[in-house]
Parts: sequence; structure tokens; C-alpha cells
Amino acid sequence: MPIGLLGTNQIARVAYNVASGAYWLLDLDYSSVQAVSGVSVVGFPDIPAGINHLECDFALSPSANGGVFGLQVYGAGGVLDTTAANQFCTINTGAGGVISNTGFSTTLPLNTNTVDNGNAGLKAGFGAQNIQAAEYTAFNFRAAYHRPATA
Amino acid sequence: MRHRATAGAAGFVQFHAANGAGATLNVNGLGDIPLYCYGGSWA
Repeated sequence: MPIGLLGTNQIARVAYNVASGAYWLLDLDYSSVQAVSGVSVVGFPDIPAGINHLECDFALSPSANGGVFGLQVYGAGGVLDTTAANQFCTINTGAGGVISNTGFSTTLPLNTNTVDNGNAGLKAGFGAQNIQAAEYTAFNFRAAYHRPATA
Repeated sequence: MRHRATAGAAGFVQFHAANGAGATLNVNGLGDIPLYCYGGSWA
């Protein structure tokens, strides 16, 4: 079950399934909600094989300047993919088609120069489609690069 | 819920805390039972 699907004191309907020896949580869509602080990694483990498309949104404040904020995925074998040659970024310039590069180290960088001064952060998100296919997993990343202390 | 042994018997439960990975439910002291949700399959 995804982390944070249930909140504190939440009331939900469940049914006991004898065959699986488990309670089945009814009426709730698959979702993971996490509020974390002081962590270097946020994970979304055990995504079922029936989930084909992902949407992830977040807001964060880095603890230091110049860090790399990146994304890593596990392959079908359950092994974290840290092969440099597997990490690509592409950009569509609108003029000459798609530009692709590679050579990143162990992670797919979403932001390679994070800023921390208590006032700046990142409101961002990504989508990934057809993640169960035996292909590269593609993420469409978008970001707004500030979180002002005041409006 | 008053019991768990009947297939499909449904009831409402209030959870005391946000769930982490591998969540379980213990009703009437019967022990920790896995709690599944549906994401294309029950897991």
C-alpha cells in the first residue's frame, strides 16, 4: 500500500478477504502523500504492476546551495538504476527538433543548482506514462524556481 | 469491526496514524493483518 494514503484519524471502509488473508481498503484511489523534513531521499516503493501512469507534485526547500536534485528509478528486476548511460535529458527547442544529451552520473538531474537561503525553493512536478513497458521510463518535468517567503 | 473471518464483511475503521510502507490493521486484538489497496491489483 502506498505510503501516506491514509492520514491520522481518517475513517475508511475495509473488507476482509480470506483468499489473500488481508483487509482490502475500499473506495480510495491509489495515492501516496508524504510530508517529510530533513531527508535526502523520498521513495515511492512497491508501485503495483497495474499502475501505468504517474503524476507527482511537490514543493521543497533545499538545505544547501548547489546541490543536485535528481530522480532515480528501479528497473523491472527491482534494482536501482544508477548506470550513467541510462540517464538522458532532452529538450525541444521548437526549431531543430529534440536535443538529447547523456553522461549524467547516477541520477536523472531535475535541477543541478539548487538554491537555499530560506526564501527560495522549488515548486515542481513530473509525469511519467506507460511505466510498465519494457522501455526507458520517460519523465516530463516542470518547475517554478522559487518559493517566496511573502506573497 | 467486530470480526474479520467472514469473506467480504465490510466495516468502517478509523486509523490512529498515517500509514507507512507495509501497513497492517489489528482488529479486536486478532493480530496484525496486512492492509491492501487497489492499484490495478490488490497489494
